[in-house]
Amino acid sequence: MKNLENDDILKTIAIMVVPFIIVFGIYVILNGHISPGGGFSGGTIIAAGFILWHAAFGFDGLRKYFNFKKLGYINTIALLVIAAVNIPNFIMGSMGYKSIFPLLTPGNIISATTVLLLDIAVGIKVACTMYELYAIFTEGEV
Amino acid sequence: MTCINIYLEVALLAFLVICAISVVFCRNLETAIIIFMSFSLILSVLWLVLQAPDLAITEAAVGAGVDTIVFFLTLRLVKKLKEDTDDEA
Repeated sequence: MKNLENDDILKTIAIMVVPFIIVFGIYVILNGHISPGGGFSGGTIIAAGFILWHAAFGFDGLRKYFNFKKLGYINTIALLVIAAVNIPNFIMGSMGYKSIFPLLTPGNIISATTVLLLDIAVGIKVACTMYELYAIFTEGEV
Repeated sequence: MTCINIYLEVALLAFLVICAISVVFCRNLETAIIIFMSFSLILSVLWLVLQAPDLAITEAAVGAGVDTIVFFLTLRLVKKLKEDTDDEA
């Protein structure tokens, strides 16, 4: 296969497109409870942006921000947030448990109780896992 | 409006069947992957027509984006493996 790291067309398109992809992924995550989308879809879109950047500019620029250890920490923290948000519902769900956060006007971004927090945690975890999978496939390490 | 929707659905389903059959009968593996990507893209438009936009977003991101890249990477690894065994033999 051809080496794509010296391809001018791919580099120019990546510079133009990748910021919009990542911002659209964040939009899909933050509006997950009031419009189509959610944590999984937004996380996959963000991971697709990272993968495009990796294909255009290689591995050295991204390695500054994501090494194996840091991705593991981010994954663990996101998983712990998911667990901590869900534990009260698991324990006291059948006893008429009501969340401590108030329900605000429907349609606002901060209107559901803990769904936004869950969506953000799931999105971060999915983005990190997808990027890790791609990096392990291409280079053998993250 | 519903009449147009029915025609659109029938046309998209016909494209879907054509893509699925041509993936099976394609001899070149890279062409097969590209046709499979177009299968996913048509399926995502079909989800949108059938009023499931959530599935459409996920299908376009996973089916047409990440899946294709992973298939290409697998193909490259398989080719490298095959060249190595040819050199040894």
